Amino acid sequence: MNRDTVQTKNESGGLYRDIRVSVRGLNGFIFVCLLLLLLATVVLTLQGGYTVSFYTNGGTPVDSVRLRYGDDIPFPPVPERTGYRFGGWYIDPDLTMRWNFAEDHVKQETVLYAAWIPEQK
Amino acid sequence: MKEKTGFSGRVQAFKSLEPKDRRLWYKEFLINNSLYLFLFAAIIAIEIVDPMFLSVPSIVNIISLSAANLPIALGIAGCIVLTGTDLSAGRIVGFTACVAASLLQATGYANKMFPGLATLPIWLVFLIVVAIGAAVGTINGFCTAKFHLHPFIVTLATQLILYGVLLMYLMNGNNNGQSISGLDAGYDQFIKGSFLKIGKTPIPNFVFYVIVITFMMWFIWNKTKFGKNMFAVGSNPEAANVSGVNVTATIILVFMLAGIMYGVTGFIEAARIGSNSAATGLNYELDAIAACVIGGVSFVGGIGKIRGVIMGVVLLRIIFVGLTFLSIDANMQYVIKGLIILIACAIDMRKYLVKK
Repeated sequence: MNRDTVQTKNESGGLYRDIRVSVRGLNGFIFVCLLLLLLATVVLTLQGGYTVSFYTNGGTPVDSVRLRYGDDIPFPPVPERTGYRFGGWYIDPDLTMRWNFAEDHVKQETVLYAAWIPEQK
Repeated sequence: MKEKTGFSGRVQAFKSLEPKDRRLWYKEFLINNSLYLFLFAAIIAIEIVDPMFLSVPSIVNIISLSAANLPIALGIAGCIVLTGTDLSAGRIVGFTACVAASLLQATGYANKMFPGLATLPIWLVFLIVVAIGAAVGTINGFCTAKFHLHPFIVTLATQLILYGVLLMYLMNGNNNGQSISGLDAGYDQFIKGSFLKIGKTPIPNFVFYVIVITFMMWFIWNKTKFGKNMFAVGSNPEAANVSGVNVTATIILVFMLAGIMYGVTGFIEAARIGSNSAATGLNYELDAIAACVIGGVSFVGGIGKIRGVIMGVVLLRIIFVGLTFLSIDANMQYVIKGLIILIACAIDMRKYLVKK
C-alpha cells in the first residue's frame, strides 16, 4: 500500500476552497506574525514574574514580593497580632501545608497564609 | 525511469536541481518550517536562561503532560482530516472524567456521590466511559453525515447539551454540585502510580497506556481500509463516493473513534487531576486542534500523519512549560498560544496555495 499516492493534490480544497490570497501576501503575514511572536515573548518575559502575597489574617500587613520562576521566597518580616504568637507561613487557607523556605521554590502566583497561636497569660 | 519516492527519492531530486531552483527550495524549506525553527530556537534560549528546563524531572513532567493530551489530539485529528472539527471534545472529556470519578470514589469517602456503591472493577468503568464517548461521537457523526450539517454546528450543539447533562449529573446522589474527589486508591495507582523510574523521577503508568493507544491509532490510520477511506473522503468526498467508498459510514466511524479517544482521555484525566467538576475539560479541544495544525494535519483535508500529531502535542507542551519557566503571566500565555496557531494556519494555507 503506497501511502504517497493517497495524499496527492487536493482538488476540493477543504477549508481553503474559496481563498483568493496571494502567496507573497501570506509570506509577509507569516513574517510579521513571527516578529510579533518574538516581540511578545521577549516583552512578556521581561515584565513577567509571579507575585507572592502574604495574608496575615488580622496581623500587621506584610508587603507582597514579585519573584521569578524557581526563586526562593526571602523570609518576610514577622507580623504581629495582639494576643497571639506568630506560627509560620502556610500554602493553604486551612493551614495544613507549611511553606519550607529552604527547599520550596516559586512556581506560580502564590499566597502564603499566616498561622497564629494564642498566647497564654 | 521509475521515480523513487520517500527520503532517498527526495535527496536524489534535490541533487538534480539547478542552483536557481536550489535557492527556491531553500526558501520554501525556510518558510514552511519557520515555526519549528523558531520554537526550536526558543527551547534552546530557555534552556540557556534556566538550565533546569531540560533536567530529567522537567522532561518527565513534559512527557506526562504530553501523554495526557495526546489521545484527544489523535481523536480530533481524524475529524480535521475530514475537513471538519469537533468542538465537543473538551466537554466529552469532562463528562467522561466526572462519570469515571463518580463511579470510582474510595469506599470510606465522606462526600461520595453514590454512598451505597461498592468498588467497581476498573475495566468495567473504562468500558462504560468509552461507550459514552463513542455514543456522543456517533451522534456527532450521524448528524454531520446524514443531514449534511457542518461539524462546527453539530459539535457546538453537542458541546452545550453535554454541559447541561454534566451539570445535572453532578447534582446526583450525595454530591450536590461539588467537585468529585477522594478517588479509590487502586484507580489512582493504576493511572498515576509507576513501576518505572528514570534516576529518581517516576514515570506515571498512563504514559505507557497512551503509547499503546497511539500505536493502535497508527495501525488504524495506516494499515486498515477504514484509514484509507478516511483520507479519501477527506481529500475529495465526491471522488471517494464514485469509487465505492461508503462516505456516510466513514464519517460516522471517524467521529465515533474520536469519541472513544475522548472517553479514554477522560478516564485518564479523572485520576490525573484528582478533583473533577463541571469545569473539567473546558477548552481542551483548542489545545488539541492547535497541536494538530502545528503537526501538519491540514485543514485542506485528507492530509495528516500520526507522528505529526505526536510532534505537535509535544512541541506545544514544551512551549507552555517553557513559558512558565520564563515567569510569563499565565493569562498572557494565551497571546503567545494564539500567535503560534495563527502562524501554523498561515503556513498550512500557504502550502496549499503554492501547490495550486
